[in-house]
Amino acid sequence: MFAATAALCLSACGASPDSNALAAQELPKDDAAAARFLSRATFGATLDEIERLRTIGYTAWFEEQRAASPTLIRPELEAQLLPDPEDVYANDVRRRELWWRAVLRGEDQLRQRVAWALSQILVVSTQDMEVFDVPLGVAEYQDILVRGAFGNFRDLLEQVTLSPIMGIYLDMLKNAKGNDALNLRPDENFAREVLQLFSIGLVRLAEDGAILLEDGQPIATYDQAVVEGFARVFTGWSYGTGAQFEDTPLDQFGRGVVPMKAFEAQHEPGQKLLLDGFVLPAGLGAEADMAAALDLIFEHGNVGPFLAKHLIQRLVTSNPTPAYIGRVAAVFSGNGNGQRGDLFATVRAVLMDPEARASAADQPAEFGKLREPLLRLASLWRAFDAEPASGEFTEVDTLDALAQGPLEAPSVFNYYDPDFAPSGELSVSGLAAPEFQITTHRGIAAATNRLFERVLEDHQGFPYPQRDDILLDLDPWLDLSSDPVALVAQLDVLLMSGNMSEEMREILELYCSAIPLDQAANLGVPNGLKRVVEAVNLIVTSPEAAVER
Amino acid sequence: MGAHRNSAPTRRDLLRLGALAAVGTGFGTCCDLDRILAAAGSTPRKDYRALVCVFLAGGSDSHNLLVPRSKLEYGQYAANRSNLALPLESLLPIDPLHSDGIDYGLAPQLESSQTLFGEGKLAILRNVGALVEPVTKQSYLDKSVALPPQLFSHKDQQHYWHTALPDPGGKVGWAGRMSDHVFQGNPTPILTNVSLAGANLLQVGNQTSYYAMGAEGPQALSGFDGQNGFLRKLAFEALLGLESDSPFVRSYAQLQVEAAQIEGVLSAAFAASKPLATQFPDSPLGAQLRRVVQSIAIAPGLALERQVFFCQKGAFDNHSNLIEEYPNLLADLDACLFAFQRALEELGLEERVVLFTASDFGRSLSSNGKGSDHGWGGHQLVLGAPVAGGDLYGTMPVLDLDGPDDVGAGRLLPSTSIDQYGATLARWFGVAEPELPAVFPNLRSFARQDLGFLGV
Repeated sequence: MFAATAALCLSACGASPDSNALAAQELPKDDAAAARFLSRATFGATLDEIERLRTIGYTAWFEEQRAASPTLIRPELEAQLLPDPEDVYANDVRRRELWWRAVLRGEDQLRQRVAWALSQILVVSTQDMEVFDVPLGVAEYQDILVRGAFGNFRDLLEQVTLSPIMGIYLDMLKNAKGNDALNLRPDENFAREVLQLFSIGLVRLAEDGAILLEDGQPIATYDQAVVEGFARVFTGWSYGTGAQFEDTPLDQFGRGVVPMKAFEAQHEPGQKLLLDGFVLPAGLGAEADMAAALDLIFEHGNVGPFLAKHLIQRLVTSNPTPAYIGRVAAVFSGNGNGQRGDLFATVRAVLMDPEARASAADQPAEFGKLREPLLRLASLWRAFDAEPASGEFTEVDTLDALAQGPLEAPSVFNYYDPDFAPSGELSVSGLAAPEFQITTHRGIAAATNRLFERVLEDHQGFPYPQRDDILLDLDPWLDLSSDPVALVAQLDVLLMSGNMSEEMREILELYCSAIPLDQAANLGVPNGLKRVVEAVNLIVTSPEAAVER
Repeated sequence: MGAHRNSAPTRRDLLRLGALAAVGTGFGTCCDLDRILAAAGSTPRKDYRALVCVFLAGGSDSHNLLVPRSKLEYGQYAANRSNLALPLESLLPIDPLHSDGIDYGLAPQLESSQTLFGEGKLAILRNVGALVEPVTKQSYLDKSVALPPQLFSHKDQQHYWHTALPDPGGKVGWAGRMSDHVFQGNPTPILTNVSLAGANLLQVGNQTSYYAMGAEGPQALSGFDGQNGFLRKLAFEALLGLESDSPFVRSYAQLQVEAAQIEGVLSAAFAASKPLATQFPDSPLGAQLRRVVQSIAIAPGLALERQVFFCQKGAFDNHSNLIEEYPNLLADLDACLFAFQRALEELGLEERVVLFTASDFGRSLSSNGKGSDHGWGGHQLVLGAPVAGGDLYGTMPVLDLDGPDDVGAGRLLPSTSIDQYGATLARWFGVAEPELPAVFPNLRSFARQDLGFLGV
């Protein structure tokens, strides 16, 4: 249909509004293509969503997603907090329960998936005890990312900056102006990390992400003096409900939800040296300084390629070509509709780029990425409509087994470094593989064991259910179980986007065939269930399924 | 293949699966481990040596770890550290073998360290940090010397500590380069480097890498119990043995196989070893160091000759709450180091092990009101019976804002380099003199290439 014309335009024209629109008008060419898109754009493909996407096409799907109400967790947590607002352990459990419910069941799947990606760039973490102590604030921070996922990056940057949770995490809260007599200087933590990790990075980038060189050396985007300049901007901010700068509200809402406000008396009044020699004049006041500083950051040429590469790595592939980065960065810069910082357009550009959409067979061997451990579990639960036995996603603690959890990164540097490669052929080839940083000998065994347990034991019909199980619903698959070829083929589409190799298929078909259908002797387990369980288990713990291509 | 299947798997099915499983590597023996185990006894290899790195992540504010007690120097410290300064009377006095004319004390939480210092087992290396070549305040300000890139950035300074090279893209660490020279003595090269703290660059060499284990010990794969478990394992292994055109798939499969093979051997060795009597603190670092001691105890049975262990303790980035938090961090570190040393002594292994600390950087001498910001030089601890302990090494910086060592806002430039620190450790570890430049390419920039805390 549109395929031929679109393909021509995609390869020849680059990122123009017409080519993106044409591409988006396409329908997925088959179930596998739809599954592949959904595994990137959601917390996991489902058979229903595959069918839906094939019916309405990408454009309509994106519009539906844009229109869907954001699934927020803070209001719900607030209602649940009332009995025991200061029992932070219990309330953190509740926060995580709500998060899992939102990401698994929310209609706004794309928004949730993007918020998860943003949480790995604009990092806060309950690993910091002071953050952990304000679960309502952590929930609000999650909601900032969810609301902001389809908004403008400038707005998101501001909301994150003024969040008291970020204020606690990177020490902007109650950061006071300097005092020479007492040898006190403003805290530099937020200033440094907002530049290094949230927006610009350490070295100047071309629009396609290439590191610019001067005399053969990378060019630093800023130096210590600039960090100190920004540190001076980020002074005088404290709790929004406080009467005085030093006040700390007693309630979770004041400590975690209300944005920080400026106290002029504690704000550095002098001039501030910022990026690229720009000097903020003295006496503008805290709010004007803040706005100017954030504008300056937002307008920096690095932001487009910086965010583009991060988002591509989170959603599609670990080693995008410079051209891919450049096309996405151009959309961020406003080449699409003239507005810089449109995150929805940027994400759509990431997902609809020809480099993302070329089928695995047409990709170079190094295309793709190791799936994030948390997403391997989430996509398993979505694929099989997992339902908690207790009714709540109780005590879902993934940090130990999967090395990831909602807003639980070990530091502001997230779970892994964008440039990480494990030693061996990936490193030798110069390929980045960030997710391997948490997939060490220990990590791989822990994650595999967790997946084993979640499939082999935690499914409807397992003879020994536990109250806190999250049960996969494999009943719809029982009919297929008598036909191993069809069973494996359908699981391949749903769980592996059709990328299963012929050799793996042969092994799975052989293995399934070897499992008796009739399990009457096995405590009344429905016929065929064991076969389905075993097939799913082998697939989700296999090397081929661990990698997304 | 679409036929109904109501009977048990036939012998033919099992043979086919087994054949497919055998095509790949499967979970067979790794590196002739069976043969090694059969041959090895329980006596340590004659010259077994282990280095244990405890990385204090975030930048340890060691200005409050080792503090001058002499009147002039303490006064200077107190005035310049403002509200961060420790009270004089709270400091634990130490009496180093060699004096630089100034009296020193340790932070009040370091009681066990004070004991170990007194026993001659703990040394303190003062003011060590990332240097490409020697730096003075003037040459720093003039930019007339080569400097480590991105000073004061966590990621880059951790990278520098791990690699000892001014190349932010570098992928090889100095413990890895060290291991490249010594691993030949180990029948299982992968166990030359063991990480208790996950992925790291320090232990990546050109020919060696590391085995990552949790403090709880190696994890076996648990999904092969019960009915069908045997067949399931065959199928699982068959999938691991498949070829793939994707380097990601290949790397993942290889890691899974390697993890299982090593686990098989290590779990058996740990299970057979005698439990430790020494109690460790119930903290992440305590658990890591306990596992390190247990690992050292099983090294003879694996015929290992040289090992490097990597541990990490976090939360040192005390921009705020330094006054409240740093003492807690030190208290845990203190208790962990003490337990570690006593545990080695319990097993009679103390002559074979040296523990050393490292950190992204020290912190600013000056206060930001609630804490300190990223600095440069910092003090590190070296612990072990082989250490010429009870002494202070390196040079104390002048604790004066805008003084001769302050390159700006209280960041004091180091007087000793990571290269010199590492080379001193490497020599003890068994790296021969001619091999040191390959391990520390910048060592030649520094006059003194052995700091003396491990004997000559």
